[in-house]
Amino acid sequence: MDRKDFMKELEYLLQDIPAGEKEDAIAYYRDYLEDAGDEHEADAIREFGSPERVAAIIRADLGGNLEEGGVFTESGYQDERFRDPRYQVAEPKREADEDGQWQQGSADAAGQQRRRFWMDRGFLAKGSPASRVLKVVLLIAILFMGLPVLLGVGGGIAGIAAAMLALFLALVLLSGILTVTAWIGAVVLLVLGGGMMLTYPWSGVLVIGIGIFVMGLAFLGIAVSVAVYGKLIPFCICGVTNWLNRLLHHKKGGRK
Amino acid sequence: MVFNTGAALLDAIVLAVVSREQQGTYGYKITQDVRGAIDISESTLYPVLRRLLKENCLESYDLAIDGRNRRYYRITESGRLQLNLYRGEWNIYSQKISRILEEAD
Repeated sequence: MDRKDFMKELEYLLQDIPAGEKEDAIAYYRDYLEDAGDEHEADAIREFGSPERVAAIIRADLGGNLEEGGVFTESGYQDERFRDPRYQVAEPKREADEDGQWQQGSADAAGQQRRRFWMDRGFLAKGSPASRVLKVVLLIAILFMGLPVLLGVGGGIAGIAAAMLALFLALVLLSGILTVTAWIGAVVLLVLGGGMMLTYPWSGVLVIGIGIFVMGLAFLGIAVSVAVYGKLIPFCICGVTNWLNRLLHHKKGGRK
Repeated sequence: MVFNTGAALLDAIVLAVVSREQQGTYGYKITQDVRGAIDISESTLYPVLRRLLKENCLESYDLAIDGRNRRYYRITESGRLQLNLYRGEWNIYSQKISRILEEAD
């Protein structure tokens, strides 16, 4: 690849970054290769790696995340993400790098990371068609094998939902019934206490006291009932209606 | 080289290299000069120069050379201040390291 090809490729790869940034970068690399002159041009291009690699470095720098991945090592500034893509092909050989810096494990991890980097940028296809078919088959197999488990889990979830619903209904019914009962009880106790005052004054006072206490509970019941019937139920109804609404609208959108 | 070069040290070296040229200097020459001190790849310096420009440590201008424009980089006043700061830090750091390594002898 000579200077012209390299610059053409680089310009193509950078066409979607801001115009000013692109001009600066292109100017820098064009200058660089022209200043390298005929005798060093090939060396420089070889060391750049590839237009894709240089473009990726420029992009990462624009994104402000160059510093995170770069490491200054024995052989200068290195960024795992910007190894030349061709290095991937030669992956196994790299373990034998002269400085012994690459243990197998870290090289594998780095390779994966790099692969992901290039995949993110669309330089590498995500798996071959054959492996995609295999994935679908596997997925279906897993679904079938997992069906009993899914049913069990689904049943559990349904059970919990039913319990929650029952609790909710109980709360709604009980708050009303208890309030009404408390009112009746309070009135009965007060009347009874009034009657008893004539015959057994102390017992009458006791019963009237209990009656007032129950009346307090009844007021509390009214407060709870107002909360449940006035707020909770409308809230739930609204929620369910909204949800149904959205579901219907969504379906309409899908049909279009 | 056995020792790693941090981003700050690379900044310092680039600033020092650029500050040596009164009229400014250009990308290829900066790279070759920096390589006189540390081993960097040819594609290392663009992000560094871009950052130093953004931080106003360097300024750039275009000069017609051989019928084309070449971009020159020149150190600014705040670049000089930054370089002095790096120089002071480096003196302290390198003296401490030297002392400890020699004492170990």
